[in-house]
Amino acid sequence: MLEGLFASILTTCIWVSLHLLTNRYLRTRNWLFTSFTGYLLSLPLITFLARHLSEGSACDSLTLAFIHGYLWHLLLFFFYVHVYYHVDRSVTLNLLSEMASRGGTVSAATFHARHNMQTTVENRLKILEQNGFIRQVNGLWINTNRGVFYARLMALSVWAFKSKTQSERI
Amino acid sequence: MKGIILSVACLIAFLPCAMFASRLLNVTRHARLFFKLLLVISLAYVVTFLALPSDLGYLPDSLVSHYTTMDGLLGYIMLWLNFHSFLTTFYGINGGFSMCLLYEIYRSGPQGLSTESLAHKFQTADGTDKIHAWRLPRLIETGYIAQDPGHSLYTLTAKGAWVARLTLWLHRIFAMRKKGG
Repeated sequence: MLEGLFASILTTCIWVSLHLLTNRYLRTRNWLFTSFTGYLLSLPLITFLARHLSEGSACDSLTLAFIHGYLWHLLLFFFYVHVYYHVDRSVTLNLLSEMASRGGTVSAATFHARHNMQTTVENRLKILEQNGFIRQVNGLWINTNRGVFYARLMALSVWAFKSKTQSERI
Repeated sequence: MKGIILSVACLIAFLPCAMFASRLLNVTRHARLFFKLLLVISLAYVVTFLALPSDLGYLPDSLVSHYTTMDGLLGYIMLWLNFHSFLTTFYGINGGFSMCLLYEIYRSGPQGLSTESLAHKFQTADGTDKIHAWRLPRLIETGYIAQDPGHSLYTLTAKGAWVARLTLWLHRIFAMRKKGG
């Protein structure tokens, strides 16, 4: 069990370090694709490390080491991806970091001028278009199949948890 | 292995409980409800872990760990990691700005929406934007920023500055490019 855990932590450290270096120097466009590739390519390392670390250990079985290794590796991958996306896309975190980079104090007028709704929507629509979620037809935005899937997923989740969307909060 | 199995069972139990509680209690702060539920589920995890045998009555020897305490601890950490995944997925889907834009376009029907119409949906009748109008009072309420009595300045509190520094550090680590929005 512990061998699997150590194998997964070591493997995650290795692939995440390589991934961060790749991201920094090669400037990859699709971050999720490269992280998923890194995750898949690092899978054999789990087998190697778990087997290697289990040699001479008479406690838990190799099967248990593999189960723990692959499971923790997957959970750490999810953790990494979720942290990245939250840091990248969270309006709240970006708002706080923007305030910090402006010395920690912002006047209400400057703040509201910088966070113009039209510009915020335009910027996000550009990202959604680049990532293939929406497309523009005669000046109007429509969802691609991928966009429809996520919109339906949101509709289901909003219903299931009886939550409000950002456009309905006030 | 007992830790993993019970951890997954607890997560499976958590999901419908979170859904039904959200629907029944009409909550506005889902995270608070989820954390409370997680504490109840954590208690259930500890009780069942202590009460059930190491092999759960059916596991073969090869799947039974000799490190009982570590097995329980890892199962519990796994529960928290899964909870973190659930929480970020929940907020990514239900509270995400991108998701909300896709949802508004979807709701508009096959004809689609213009950028102006979409921006209009995120503004109140007096022109206040809905993205920041609820977020700023929430950040003040939770102690991340402070507003001076004259309402002309927003200042980061120590707590807000710490989160901001962490975010900026992660931006550098992840080599993120600013995209705006």
